[in-house]
Amino acid sequence: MTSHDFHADPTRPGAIPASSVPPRRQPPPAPPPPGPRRLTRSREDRILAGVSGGLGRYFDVDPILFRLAFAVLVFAGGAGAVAYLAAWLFVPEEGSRTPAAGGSVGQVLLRATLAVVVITVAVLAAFGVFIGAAFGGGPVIAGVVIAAGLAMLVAGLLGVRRARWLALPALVVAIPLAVVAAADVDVDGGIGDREYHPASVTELRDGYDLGMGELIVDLRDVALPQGRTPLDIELGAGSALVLVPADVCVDARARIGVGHADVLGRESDGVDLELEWAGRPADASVPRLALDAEIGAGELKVRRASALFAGDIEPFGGDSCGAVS
Amino acid sequence: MDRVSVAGGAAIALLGALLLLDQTDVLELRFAWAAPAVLAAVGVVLLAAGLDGPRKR
Repeated sequence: MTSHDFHADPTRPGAIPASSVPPRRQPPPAPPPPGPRRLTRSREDRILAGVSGGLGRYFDVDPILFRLAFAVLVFAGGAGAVAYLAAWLFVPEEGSRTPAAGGSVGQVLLRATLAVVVITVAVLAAFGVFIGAAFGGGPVIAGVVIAAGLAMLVAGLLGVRRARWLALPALVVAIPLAVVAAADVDVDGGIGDREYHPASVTELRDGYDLGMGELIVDLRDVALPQGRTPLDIELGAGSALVLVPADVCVDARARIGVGHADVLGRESDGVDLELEWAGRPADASVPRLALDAEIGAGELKVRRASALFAGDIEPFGGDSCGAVS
Repeated sequence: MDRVSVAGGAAIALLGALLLLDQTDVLELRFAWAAPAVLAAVGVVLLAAGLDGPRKR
């Protein structure tokens, strides 16, 4: 029998009347268990759609972590843009239980369009920086990066947190500039596609220069003289194709900031490429083309005329007068 | 003092100075140096922001 039963039994000797028992004070109801934390887009801490603000709040870290991560990943094949767009569409806004994609079709289309526009503008801005730097505006752009950094530094020393956002545009500007600087992209030669098809040695220039685009130098109709014939190729960004006659040896030097080289079937790719191919020592009577190519970002291809008629199969070796030094 | 702004600003200013030196032909920057320099600047900002913790409300 419990004490409650004891008090409740009025027939029991010595029982206390229930009316004289003070009512037992009920403990306050326990607060409801906290629900699972929800990832939402922030309404207050936002630059575009509040995705980074919401992620920062969810993981209890500064949102600039995510803002920078999204921005840097934009340069990784656009992964940052896709991830941001997906989060915008599928993560609900603070105070709402439905994600953007759960709204009306019109709202979804509006948000998606806005996201595409914003991302396009950002990519175009980065491309603009790339072009501006390639056309010689690099020192000014570098100055802007320095100014942004110093402004952040001074603001930080003064305790102003709001200047943190400068990190994002500064890095978005600095990254394409760094690519131009490292690849040594120079577009002084102009932009567009150029094709040169000299018919004789007299029409052959010492060098061919193009800033950005596709450069084709077709030497198949040129009867190169005995000995060494120099040929310089300079390309800022794009692809260069050199077609050489079947009966010449090719010595090639190539410096490529970032890209790919395919010289008579010998391929190499990566960054900071410095390649050298030397034709096998041959009779001095055999014409020898000394190709010196400098490419900032892009591709260099050297094809032999005979290969063009053989289904693009490179006749490297044998009498092709080619060997890697 | 806002440590994130100080560290990030210093890193970005240094990165800009490095790029300026290249653009003025004082040094020749290659990918072998440029890529780590950019990643270091980004890393400094991320690290400072991460160590700083959540935004005070």
